[in-house]
Amino acid sequence: MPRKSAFPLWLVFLLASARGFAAGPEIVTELDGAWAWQRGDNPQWADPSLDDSAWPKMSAQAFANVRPTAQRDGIFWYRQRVQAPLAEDLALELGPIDGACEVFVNGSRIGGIGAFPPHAEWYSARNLLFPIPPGSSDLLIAIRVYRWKLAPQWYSLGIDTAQLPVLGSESVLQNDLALRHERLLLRQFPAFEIGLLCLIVGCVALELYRRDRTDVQHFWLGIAFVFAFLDGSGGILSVTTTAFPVLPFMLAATAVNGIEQCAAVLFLGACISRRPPLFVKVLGVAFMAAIMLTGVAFAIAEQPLAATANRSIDLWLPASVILGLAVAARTASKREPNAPVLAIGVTAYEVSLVWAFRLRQYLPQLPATIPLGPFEARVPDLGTGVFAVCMFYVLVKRFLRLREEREQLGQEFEAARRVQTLLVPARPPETPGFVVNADYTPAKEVGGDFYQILPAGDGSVLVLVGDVSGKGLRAAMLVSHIIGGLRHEPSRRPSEVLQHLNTALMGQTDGGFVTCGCALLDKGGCVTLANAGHIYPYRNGEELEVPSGLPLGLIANPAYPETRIQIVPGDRLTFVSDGVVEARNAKGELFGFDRTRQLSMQPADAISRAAQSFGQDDDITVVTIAMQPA
Amino acid sequence: MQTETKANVDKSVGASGQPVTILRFIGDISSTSRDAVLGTYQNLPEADRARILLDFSKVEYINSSGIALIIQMLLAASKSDQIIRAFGLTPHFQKVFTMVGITKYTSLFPDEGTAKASF
Repeated sequence: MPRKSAFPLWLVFLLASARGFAAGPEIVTELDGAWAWQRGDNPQWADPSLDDSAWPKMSAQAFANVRPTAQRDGIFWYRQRVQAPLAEDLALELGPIDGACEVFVNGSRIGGIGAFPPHAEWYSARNLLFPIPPGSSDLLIAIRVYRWKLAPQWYSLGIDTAQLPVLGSESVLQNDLALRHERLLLRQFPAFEIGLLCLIVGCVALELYRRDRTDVQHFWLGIAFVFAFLDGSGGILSVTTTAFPVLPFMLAATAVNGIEQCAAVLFLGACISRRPPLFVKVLGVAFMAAIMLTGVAFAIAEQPLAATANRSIDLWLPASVILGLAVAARTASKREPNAPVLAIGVTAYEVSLVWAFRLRQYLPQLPATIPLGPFEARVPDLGTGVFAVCMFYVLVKRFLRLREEREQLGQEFEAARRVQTLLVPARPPETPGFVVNADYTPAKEVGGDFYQILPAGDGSVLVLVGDVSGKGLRAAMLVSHIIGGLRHEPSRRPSEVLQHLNTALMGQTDGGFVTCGCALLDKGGCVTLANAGHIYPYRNGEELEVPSGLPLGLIANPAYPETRIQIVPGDRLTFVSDGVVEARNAKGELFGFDRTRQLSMQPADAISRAAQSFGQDDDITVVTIAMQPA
Repeated sequence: MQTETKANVDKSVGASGQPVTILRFIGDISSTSRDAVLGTYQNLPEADRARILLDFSKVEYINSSGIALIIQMLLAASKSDQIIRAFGLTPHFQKVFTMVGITKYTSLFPDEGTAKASF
């Protein structure tokens, strides 16, 4: 609820602030008289007594129309003698500047921004206000400007020629600046909203990737939108911040834009196949490199490098757009869910990309912005916005589908777990003459281990402990198959039981196998053991090295030799699965056979807990069986 | 905790002068190692499959699914009368290999030298 109400309040505030648009300054003079100007640099040129009558003069009209094409960089001085308006708090306002400047009034420096050669520091400044100390009403204003040579053409002489310097009351000018700043902020509202939408879509895409890391489409889409948000934020900052240093901003902005474009291309590649094809990777990286190169070229003010980078963008941009439109067409032709929405989004993005980079360069009559009531939106931002809305729709649909699938899978796991609970006994059955203790701890919701304690009327007990290679639902289903087979097993001879199980499992294990230890204990203490590749059992804390046959399900008709031993009352047999001996700690160390043997006289649950606390990596099963005195 | 399995193929000569192909495994061997284990074996040229030596000296862990892959390779080799031997297993996995009956299809050696000398 608070989130819902915060936005309209902010909007109301901005609209209320915008009431002052029509209000104009009251005590203000636009310095539209003839400016004497000179290229070069001399500290004496700030001196009010300097005779500048020989300097070239530039009228306000000429000042606004100058478009020098050569020697655009360097230091320029401008001088004009004016009569101060009737204001106590006098100040000078300078229009946007790309470079560095200093302002002198009657020979005294009243302010500046950036730094001049040899350690030049270029700033991009919006409107700067310099208070003028009280004194004479006859003012000689001298402006020293270091022009950045790659500044846009309209900054012809270092100062935005569309806005002449203005002299007036500081409070009036300050108020006017504040109003203009609010109007700028208001105009950025669509860009702000689109940026926010990009961030949300990016976060949703990255969350989807976190849930399913095999789908790199979501990863690249997330990166593209997060960087689109950063790109847009940089754009908003650049027009709403009073002044910022050009070099770091230019490098950061082109790096962000380069990554955004590269991620967008790789997203398109991931729409073609799960692993983007090599040519797409090359295209993405080359496009990113070309964009970043423009940043470097501008940062070091290297015109030939900037031109090369620009030509390079001309090469990669069409390739990227063609790829995007091809993906959109291919997607639209598919009968996949949300395909038309995805196609519309990609198409809008590609059109915005062309618009942003090149289209207006060749068709300047195309509008740069579209008015939206009190706001205005840049056309490329609108394209990105349409893409973001479409992708938001697609991602939410995917998110809901994924959640539904997970819930369904969870229900299936729960059903399998219930089936397994019925098949693998929570408590061993009554076994007169023997005390059976068991612990079964799957590594996942369901396990691939199993044990069965099958007493018979003659006082004998058949014990089976086994392990299906692998874990999870597939292993659990095989366990169900094994136990189902055992329920109908006619023989109680361990070797025959294993052979029958092997026959039942042939062709069922999908390349895996099942290990199984089987023991028949008669009431007199004679134990017959057979082993299908399972961990050896322990008798009274000592390992019983019984001959072993191959695990079940690998080859037809294997031999499972039987071993007979005699136990007496008080003796104990312990069977474990490999989840005990192969429990691993954080260092990768195995629990091992020695520790298992040393613990083998402990109760089943104590052995299991020891392995679990060491580091459970697989299903754990422990069964102990002790002979009671007659 | 689990590391990806890599498999490198080397060629050598046994004590009898016959060529021996050595498959050197690196990392843990588990269900995700199908390409590294079976894929590497299946991609060997027919002529290089007559005598194969498996190097486990850089393998720290093999789970039951990994053992299943090795058994599949041994069974395939056994059907084609190929000889496969192994070395470099830790004592723990030597014991596991013995328990699951792998030693019916291959011989385990403590090091590369004695393993090659057996060919």
